[in-house]
Formats: sequence, C-alpha cells, structure tokens
Amino acid sequence: MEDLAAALAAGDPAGVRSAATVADLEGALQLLAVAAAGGSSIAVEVLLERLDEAGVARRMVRAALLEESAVDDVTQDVLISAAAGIGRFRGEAKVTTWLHTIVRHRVVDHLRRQRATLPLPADDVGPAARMSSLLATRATVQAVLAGLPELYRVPVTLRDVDGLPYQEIARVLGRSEGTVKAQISRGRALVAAALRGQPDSDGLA
Amino acid sequence: MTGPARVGRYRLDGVLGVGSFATAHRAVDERLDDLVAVKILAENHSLNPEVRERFIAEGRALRRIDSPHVVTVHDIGESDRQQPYLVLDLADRGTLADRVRGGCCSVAAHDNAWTSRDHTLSGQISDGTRARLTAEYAFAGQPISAPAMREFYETFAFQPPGLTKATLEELARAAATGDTRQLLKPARSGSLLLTDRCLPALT
Repeated sequence: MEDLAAALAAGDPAGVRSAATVADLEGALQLLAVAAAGGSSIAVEVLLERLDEAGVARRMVRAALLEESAVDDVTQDVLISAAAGIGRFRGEAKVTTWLHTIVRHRVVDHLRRQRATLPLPADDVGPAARMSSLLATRATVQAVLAGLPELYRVPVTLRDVDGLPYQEIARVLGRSEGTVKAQISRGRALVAAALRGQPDSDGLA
Repeated sequence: MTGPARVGRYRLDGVLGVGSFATAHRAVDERLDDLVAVKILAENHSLNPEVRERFIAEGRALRRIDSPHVVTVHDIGESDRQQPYLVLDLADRGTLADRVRGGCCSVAAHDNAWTSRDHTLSGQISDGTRARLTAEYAFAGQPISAPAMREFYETFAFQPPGLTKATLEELARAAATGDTRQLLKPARSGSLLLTDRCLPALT
C-alpha cells in the first residue's frame, strides 16, 4: 500500500498501475478512489481498470440481475456512473459500499426501463448509451476523447464516432472482441470522468 | 390480479403457497414433461435490488446443496415482468406437520445474511461459532407446538453443528408463543436454513 500511495503522490502512471495489482484489492481501491476524488486522472484510470478487471462491479450487478446481456449493460452503466461521480466520493465510506449504492441505482434504472411497455422517450437510456451518443455528437466530448490514452481512444472512436460494430473493431485492431468491449467500456467511463461537472455530463452519474 | 400463465418454459398450474415476498406455483416443465414448483418473487418486490439480491442468493445457495433432505434448485430465471423465479422440486407429500412426524424436511446451508420475512414462522439460533441455524416454517399461519418442534429436530437427519437441546427448546418456546422477533436477526455468516420441502397444502 505504501508503494501505491507513493506512486500516486509522484503521479507515476506505471508505478500506480503495478502497485495497484496487489492482493489487498479493497485497500488499493480505497487509495485509488480517494486520489481519484481529489482529481488525479491516473487514479481514475487505474481505479476503473481495477473495478472492471477484478470483476468488482460485475459481481455486484450479477447479484441482482440474471440475464447476461443485462449484466453487461448495467456493469458498463455502473463504471460510467462511478467515473462521473467519483468527485463526490468521500474517503470515510468504503469504496465498495459506495459502488454498491451506484450498482443498486443502475439496477433499478435498468429494471424500470425494461418494464416500461410504451416506446421509450429518446433520452431514456442508461449512462453507457448516453455516453455513446454524446461521444458521437458533441465537439467538447470529442475533445476530451482526444486526450485519452491511445489504448482506449482508438476503440472508443471506432465505436462511438465511426459507428463500427465490435467485431469489426476487434478485427481492425487485432484484439479479441472481449478486450475491445472492455476497452470501449472503460474508455467511455474515462471520458465521463473527464467531463465531471460539465453540463454534458448530466445523467451519467 | 391474475398472475402470468407461464414463466419461461414452465406452465403454471395452480398456486401452492403465497408469502408476502413470493408465490409458489405448481408448474409443468413442458420440455422434460414433469411437475416442478416455481417460486416467483412478487412483482412489487422485483424492482427492489435488495430483495432481488436476497432472492437470487437464496437460489444460488440452495443450488449448491446436495442432499436428499434439501429441495433441489433446477433453474433460475426471470419473467417478462422482471420477476426472478426459482424452479424447485415439487414436494407434494403433505403438510409440514405430516413431514415433521415423518422426519423429512429440507436443509440448506447459507453463507450470506438471510432473514426470513416471507414465512409465517421463522426462527434462527445462534451458536456463536461457525454456524447459525435458521429454521423456517411455511406454516400458513399456524404456530408449531414445542413438542412438534422438538420432534422435528430429533427426527431430522441432519445434525446442525453446535445445536444444543437447550437452544432448541428455547427456539421451540419462542416459536410456540409466536415471539420470533429475537430470532429474526440477520445471520452474519454461515447460516443454515431449514425449509420444509413440502409447501403446506392450502385448502
């Protein structure tokens, strides 16, 4: 944990990334979340990676939802809401408790959308879909996208700006479809994190 | 309100029991051509993530138990109204009272917090060590007598760890007087859930 704290203090991306992959996942998430709330963009990036890779968000979603596609969608919504709302995280709370609250909100939103029998109003979509459409249409959002690490910027651009299917993006980049999906989902969340507080980000947290 | 006529591949064929959280139906598995019991979470609770989590966790925990005394979970699914449901053995061999006399009830280990609010009578015994015991009686409003309770445990094939005669009697007394409040504290970890595998016949 000292390594992680030191790397965060030094703003050393490689150091943060390697120090965050430790046995004490919860402890690492806590340090990352506090740093992310304080405005560290590398902390946001690594926090999202850890939440996603270690399956923390997905596990919580899976406790309440059964359909695989619903679990995928809501997990993505959760990552985006977590990224967009990280500024409101207070270190006194456990990061998993904070995340669980977000999960429950996104689960309810999802169930309500599913239950609505009438055609949905155009803006009644989850944070992931909303992020996707913001990326396609807003210049300010695209400017934020341009600042992402390449690993995320390229697949998100291909998906949300160019509108390519996942399969095609995987082929173009020579990565697996699963990898591409994860990178797009994290990339969108990073954009949401960068948009924090801007008018465009309403409805993401 | 009438419920759905079917969920997934299961054709519902009459209500077996109704709790405040879920309703159990006799159902036909049309693919395997067999009778099953389908327990469906009430619609008004299906949008509550906390209740959903508990219902789904119960199904997953129950699924991991392999015992002739445990009702088997065959499937878990969701209705088109977002109601999670469990597909269970249909155990239609009489009421709990009959089964207590016959010494045949079901046990399910639980490793998560579990409170039983959807059953009429429910008890939980803490032994303070590695296991807690939750006894549940879907007994349609009738308190179970202390002797019946004792008989239930004495004839019970599974020996719950750390369960003493004294705690049993205490539970039986509380259950008989209907005072289940102190027995309803959520288990922290490692609870054992006893449920009758036969739902009471509602006549």
